[in-house]
Amino acid sequence: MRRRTFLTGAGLAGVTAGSTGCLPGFSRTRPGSEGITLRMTMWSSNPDHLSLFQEIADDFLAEHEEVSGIEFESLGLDQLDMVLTTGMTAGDPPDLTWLPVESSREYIDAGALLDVAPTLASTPDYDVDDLVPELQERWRAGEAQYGVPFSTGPLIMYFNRTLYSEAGVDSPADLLAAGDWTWESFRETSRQLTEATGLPGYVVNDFDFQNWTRLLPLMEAYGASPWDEDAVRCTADAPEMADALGLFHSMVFEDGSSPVPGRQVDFFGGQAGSTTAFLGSSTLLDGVDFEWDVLPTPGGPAGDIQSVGQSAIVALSAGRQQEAALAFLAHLTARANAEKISRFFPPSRASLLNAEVLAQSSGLLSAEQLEPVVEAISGSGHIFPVAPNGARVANALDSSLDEFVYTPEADLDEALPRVCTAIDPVISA
Amino acid sequence: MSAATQAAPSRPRRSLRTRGRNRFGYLLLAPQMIGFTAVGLVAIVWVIWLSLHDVNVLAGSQDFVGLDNYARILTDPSMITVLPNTFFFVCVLSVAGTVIALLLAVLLNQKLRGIGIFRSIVFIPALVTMVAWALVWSFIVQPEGLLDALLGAVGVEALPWLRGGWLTLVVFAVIQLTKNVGINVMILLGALQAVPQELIEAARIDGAGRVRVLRSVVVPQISPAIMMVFMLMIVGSFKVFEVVMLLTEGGPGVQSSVLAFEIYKQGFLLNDVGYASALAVLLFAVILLLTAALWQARKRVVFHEND
Repeated sequence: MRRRTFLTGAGLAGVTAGSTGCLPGFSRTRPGSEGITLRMTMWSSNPDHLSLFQEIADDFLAEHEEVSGIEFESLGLDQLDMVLTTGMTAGDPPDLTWLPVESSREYIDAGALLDVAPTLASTPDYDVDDLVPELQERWRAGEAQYGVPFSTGPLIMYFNRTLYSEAGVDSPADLLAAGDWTWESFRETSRQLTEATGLPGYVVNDFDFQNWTRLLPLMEAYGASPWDEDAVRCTADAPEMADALGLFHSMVFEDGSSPVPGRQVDFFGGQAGSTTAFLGSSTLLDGVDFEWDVLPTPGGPAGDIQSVGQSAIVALSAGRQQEAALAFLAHLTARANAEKISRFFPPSRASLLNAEVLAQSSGLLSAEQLEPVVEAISGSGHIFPVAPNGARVANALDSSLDEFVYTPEADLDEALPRVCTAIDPVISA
Repeated sequence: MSAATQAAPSRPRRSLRTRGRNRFGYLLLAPQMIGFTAVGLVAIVWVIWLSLHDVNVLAGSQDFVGLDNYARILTDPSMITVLPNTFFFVCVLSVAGTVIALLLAVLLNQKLRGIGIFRSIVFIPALVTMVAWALVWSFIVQPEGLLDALLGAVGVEALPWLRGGWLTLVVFAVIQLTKNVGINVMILLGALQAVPQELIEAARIDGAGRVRVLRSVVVPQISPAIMMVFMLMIVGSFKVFEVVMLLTEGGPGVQSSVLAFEIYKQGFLLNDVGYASALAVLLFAVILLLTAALWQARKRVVFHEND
């Protein structure tokens, strides 16, 4: 009897202790829980980026007593959708986030973003007219604006001058000077570089055969796009796409001048002759032991078109602190802070969009090097194409290209219609 | 009469004691049952409910669609590849995993100097996380990786290990097997060491050789442990996920994908929570049915279950 009483008591004590021990795990304590705490997700973990955003946030907190804290959460771009949708399902999404332009239409159509236009108009010294209208198009619907781009930059060509010089092969700069800066010529010099050094002449940065947008410089140069302008019909089976992807396929599987699927090659580690990447990747060149340079990406039959990526800061409709989130969005993208952010990301404000301003803030690139970047943003550039239902379309496209095109024996005349068969139902859904 | 009068007052006492014991038993079970109800049962019911809806998380909408998501499974072309891949892992991992674990356990059951070192070597992969294990293997099987270098040294051309087809599935099965075999070996080794020596000696006196002793004495004696390992391998092989996500993301296309990865992809990457839930219900039902069938079959193949 005593033993049973003891066991009963021990059991009750255990259950009670376990329950009370678990309870704090379900409640979230935040710094300064008396006021509003804002949360913002971003796909950078660069300490310099984080400290800049924290500095801007501190200024905002000093002016807004009702907001007691702003938290920045770093994650990978490939995790963004998952984190946002999981947060929304759980009723605990971030208040603001960076969002790539590829997702803009899907989020706007679903009503997942807040209209920031009234807040921008009422924010003193915001200077809405300074925002370049063409660069806001993807984020506007009628009078409403669902985000403000903080980074608008083309994919540019980085190349290893040392490697080209040692191999005695014409570098991209030599081709540009000779007026022969085309993908066809670049394919030939990449092949020569690989023959001479054994290293890949060209690697597509942040690609891994799973990110079709990184091939856009090549597609745009040939006038190819996976879907038409209204994003209702697949055009991946057009002859222009066959020419563009045919050249890439040859570089990978015939010339061996670009790595095969699965092989890891890092240009910034000196393992390749050239790469196409965004301006922000230039920070990876700090301290490298080779000479390098940047250029616009090569031209093709459709001309010298540059592919421009874009990311905006948006406030989520599902966020709990909508008013404060919109105020912080306006604060982050106002002219003074946009200038600070332009140190890392090309801006979409007319007053900041010049090579001198970008060079002043960039420690690595000169105004001369940045001139083509500015030209691409404001003139010859095409912002990445956008489709409704963006996540599903991108998945279907990446998946079908990987299965039918990125194989040694692929016949593009047969493969590309199969790509369209895969993405057409998703585009029209 | 006297017996009746003596028995009558003792009944309520026994009943009270029994009830007290039962209450105490329920009390001990309560934390587990509350936890299962809160985390397991509610989640299962919620997933079934979600599977009957078209869920748009971004828009915050849920529209009832009945069995449409289940009908979609039947017409989804990717399922033609995904379901056979899933059952390939179930068949290969459960059968090969159990047989290899049994053979290793028999080998490691020898009385040799330093046998502990060999047992540790077999068990070490089980201590490593699956993510780390998959990353190590990614360096081995990537193009121009260690495996290609070894093949090149003996004049064999490099193979596209992770570019889909049966080759990628076999690579995944090897990665999964080498990771988990240690735990199964330990379970079977424990069972082997519990086999009464007198039974083995009696069989030997009767003239049985080593193979006959193993087949007619040892295996029947450890059959409950073999059955448990087999069932664990079946349930575990339905949940092959990390290796797919980390090495190929199911590609090219869905050539190396499995049901567990498709659930993750549809739910978390493509925001199609309703369809992902229907796939999850399918996976749950298949595992449940298979486990129930095996549980019934155990009566025929398992000996000494109640010993």
